[in-house]
Amino acid sequence: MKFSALILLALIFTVFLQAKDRPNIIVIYTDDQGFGDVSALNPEAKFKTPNLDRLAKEGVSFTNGHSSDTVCTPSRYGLLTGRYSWRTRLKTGVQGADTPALISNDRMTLASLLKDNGYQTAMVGKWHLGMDIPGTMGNRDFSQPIKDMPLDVGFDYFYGIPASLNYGYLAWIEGRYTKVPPTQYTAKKPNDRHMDYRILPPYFETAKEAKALHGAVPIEVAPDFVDTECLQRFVDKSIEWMSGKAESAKAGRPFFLYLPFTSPHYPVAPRPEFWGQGDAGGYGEFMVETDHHVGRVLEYLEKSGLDANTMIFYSSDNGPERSWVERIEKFDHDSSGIYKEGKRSIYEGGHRVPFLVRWPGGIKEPGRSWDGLVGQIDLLSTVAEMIGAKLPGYAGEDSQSFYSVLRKANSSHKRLPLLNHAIGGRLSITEGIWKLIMPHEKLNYELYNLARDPGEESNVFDGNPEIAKRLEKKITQIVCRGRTTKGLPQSNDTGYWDDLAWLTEAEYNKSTTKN
Amino acid sequence: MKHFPHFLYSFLFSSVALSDERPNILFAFADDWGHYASAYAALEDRPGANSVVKTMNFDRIANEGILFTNAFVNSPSCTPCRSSLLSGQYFFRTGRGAILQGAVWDDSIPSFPLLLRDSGYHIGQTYKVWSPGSVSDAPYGAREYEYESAGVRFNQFSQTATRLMEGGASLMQAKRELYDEVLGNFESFLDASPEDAPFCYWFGPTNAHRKWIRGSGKKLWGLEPDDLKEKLPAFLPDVHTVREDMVDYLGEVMAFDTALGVLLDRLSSAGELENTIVVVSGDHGIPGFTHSKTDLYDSGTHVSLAIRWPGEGAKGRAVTDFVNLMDLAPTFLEAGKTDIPDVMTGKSLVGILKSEEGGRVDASRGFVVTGRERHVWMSREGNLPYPHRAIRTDDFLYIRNFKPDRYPGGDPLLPKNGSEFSEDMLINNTFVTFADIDAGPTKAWLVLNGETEYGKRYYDLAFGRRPGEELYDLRKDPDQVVNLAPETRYGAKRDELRTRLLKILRENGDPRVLGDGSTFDKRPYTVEFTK
Repeated sequence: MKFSALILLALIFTVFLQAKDRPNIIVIYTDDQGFGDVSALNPEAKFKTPNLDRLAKEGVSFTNGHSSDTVCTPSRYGLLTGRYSWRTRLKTGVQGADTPALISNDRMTLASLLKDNGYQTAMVGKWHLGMDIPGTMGNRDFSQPIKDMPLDVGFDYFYGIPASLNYGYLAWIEGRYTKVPPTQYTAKKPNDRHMDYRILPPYFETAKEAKALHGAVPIEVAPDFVDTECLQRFVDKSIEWMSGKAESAKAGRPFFLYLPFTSPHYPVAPRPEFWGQGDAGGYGEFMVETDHHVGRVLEYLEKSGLDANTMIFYSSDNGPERSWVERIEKFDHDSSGIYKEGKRSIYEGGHRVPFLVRWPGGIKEPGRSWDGLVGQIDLLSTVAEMIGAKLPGYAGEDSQSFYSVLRKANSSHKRLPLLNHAIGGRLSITEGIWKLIMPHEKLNYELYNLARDPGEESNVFDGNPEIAKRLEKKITQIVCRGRTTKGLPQSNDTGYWDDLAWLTEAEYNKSTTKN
Repeated sequence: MKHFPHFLYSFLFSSVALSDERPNILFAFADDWGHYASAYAALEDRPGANSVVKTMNFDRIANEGILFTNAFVNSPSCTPCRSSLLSGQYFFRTGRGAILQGAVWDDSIPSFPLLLRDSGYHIGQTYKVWSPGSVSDAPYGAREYEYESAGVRFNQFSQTATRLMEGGASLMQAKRELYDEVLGNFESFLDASPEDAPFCYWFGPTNAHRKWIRGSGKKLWGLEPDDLKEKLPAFLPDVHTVREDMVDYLGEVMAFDTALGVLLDRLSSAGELENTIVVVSGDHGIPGFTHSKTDLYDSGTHVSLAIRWPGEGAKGRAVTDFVNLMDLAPTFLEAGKTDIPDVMTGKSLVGILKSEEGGRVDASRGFVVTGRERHVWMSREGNLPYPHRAIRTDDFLYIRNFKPDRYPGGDPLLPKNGSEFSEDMLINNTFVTFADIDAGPTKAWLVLNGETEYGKRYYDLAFGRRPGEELYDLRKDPDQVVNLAPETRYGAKRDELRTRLLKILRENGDPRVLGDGSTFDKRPYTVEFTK
């Protein structure tokens, strides 16, 4: 009795933080930034990211950290809910701007967990998880509120844009309304600094004119929207919001800020003041600009006295966009670092991303790196453990806390098998050093020893049937049980789907109904 | 229709027919910007300032158009240079436009912007076009077509950025404000453009003109002064002060270059870039450095020039044809399908622009003639000018100094009350001595070290009197410091170039070689100048 009370006390004082010490949390989420796009992670990088390097130097750099998917929408779902997106109806690809919300309003998110635990919550930036914008293009009622959006899944405040810049409804939304509504039209315009496109005035009064000039799908745009304004506005608004919460945060009501950037996703549109920086063309300039805005957040935290007790989680939603290929040729800069391929791919370059945590008041022995497997999907559980909250069985089904890694340099943390998912639906499972990529359409199994072969050059599936069999059993279990973690099995949102090529529908149904 | 006046009918008809086809013109013309652009570095045998400066937007124009390697101003002094450029004539043909302080524009001289306006172009300007002079920007409509609603702070780039940073802005915020000003001004011009008229926009920031903030090259642009070690021309002392002064200047050049990029970006998004001739240049060499601005050596007259005309000629050519910037006026007029007045002495570059060739496209373009009369009004006793003319060919520079008894950089004034010059005075006040050379750290170093063993040679080159004739062999002496005019073996070359130069001057009616040649030494060219 006495012994267990001691343990309990020890737990309370060493593992959980007391309520008044709960840190502010900022999640900075870049868009399409590869592992090689941080100078601290890639000594060969052709530009410097001093502020990102600071996050690594003053925190923990997770060098084997993964996004939960390989494209925008599903990765963001995983980050916020602690559950793989392929368990929902979204099995492949991404969503647009004005599409049904992927996160149902009753699902726990990082925001709702923290809000329920007394945090002040905000999101500033790119959403890309679907929202219900009243009306349709050309037939909008801007006086009506936007529904099924960040404010419905736990955020108190929202400022941002609905999706990537190629999807439209390009306007600055604040709360549920658009102050300057997107009454004009544009299309992708040529970008002189990069091989992608630009969104900038002059815009057209009709969709037809936009289409006639650019021959592409017209996009609704507000007269005051410019691509190069995104980062500046998002960080301005973030600082403005944090400034309003700083006093109460110090008095014991911490805040949570989710700050998903639009960079370095296309359009690669660095502001003129960043031109000429680095040696990787417009992309390098855009990364330098991204880094600059992270620096602005750090500077604000220092100035406001919030620095010590604020945890910054920094990561990217997937690997680098396809221009990584030409960047190697032109600038000798590999956005994926040593990893294979990039965005959309099941290989490491698709989902092994920068994964940095800085928290001066909480991380023991900062300046470390951790090369054990972790996922962005683990953030929900990590945060829950940090604030002493217990997740119900129906939330964060794939989320396993890595909190002990922050608190102890010699943590014994061991990640349960982690699944990855390519844009076309192909799945893989990684446990320790072994990664099994599942058969998909015409593609067969692939097995890699990531310790020996991080670049995934030799498929050793044929020589290791036992390992493959063991991993296949585990992935089947994780898929069919509706969860990775211990606890009661949960349901996926759909029945069998074709991407589970190694299973028959009958086997799937048997495994899921048995649960 | 029958009663419609015939001339009006044909005017309307032709202007409608023209307007759809004629290209827009963007002329980015930086004050005091010499031959400093990274595009030139690859063409040079020895590393110099061009291997330190980065001008990615100028380079882009060159890569997608033509890089001119032998472009020269007609006069290395703002007003006469611009009088020449705007009128398409030698500066000495522009009356009181031929001098700097005290200049008055003669409205009867045709200027390309007003001719373009009269032929249907929408014209506009931001920052400086023609100044100092009365009235400001007269050849461009005397500020009637000025678009500066967003401000004019860009003209003091390093000063404004530094002030903003002292007020708490980050470097990037400070720069952002200034680029936004450039964009805002350009947008106000574009917004005022009628749908069916081509435009002509003159972008003339003065930020590369002194003064600029000491240390700003490094602070704002990351340029290391000592990267210029052993890269300075032979007439400048290779000391930190001068290197720092030079990178501060190169920083301003980079600000101009970025602003050019802002304009190109905006043109591109407006869908107009491919229908626009972009011409980028500057109006003479580096200020506050000797042998440069106001002098007829290359460092004073040789400038950057790149032209991009989509759909015309081969891209990415380096052209060695000699260009006098007065050639731009007839070039703009021809490109704009507007008649070129007979009085213009400049020759259109359109043939070169439309050519597919690099190197020397037009064999007749093997030289350029330059000159100067009065710059700062009180530089010499009696408000006299320093009259000189030069002819520059591929291999030689010949200079005729008409009044070798005068000081080229202005009289060596002494400090009042027998005291000594302080560095501060020489850095901040151009007029304390050698008033034709702008004040700054380099001038101060040269004056203060004039009696040291190391400094004397540079002092003499900088401020000393010069003989009536100078001749430099550029194959051996690219920095033009060894005068070969007195040498017998160069006698034939000297005589040949003198004859050629004087013939050109006479043929073009230069008052300096007509009659007793004293026109520019008398009123009104020697009037006192009061603002």
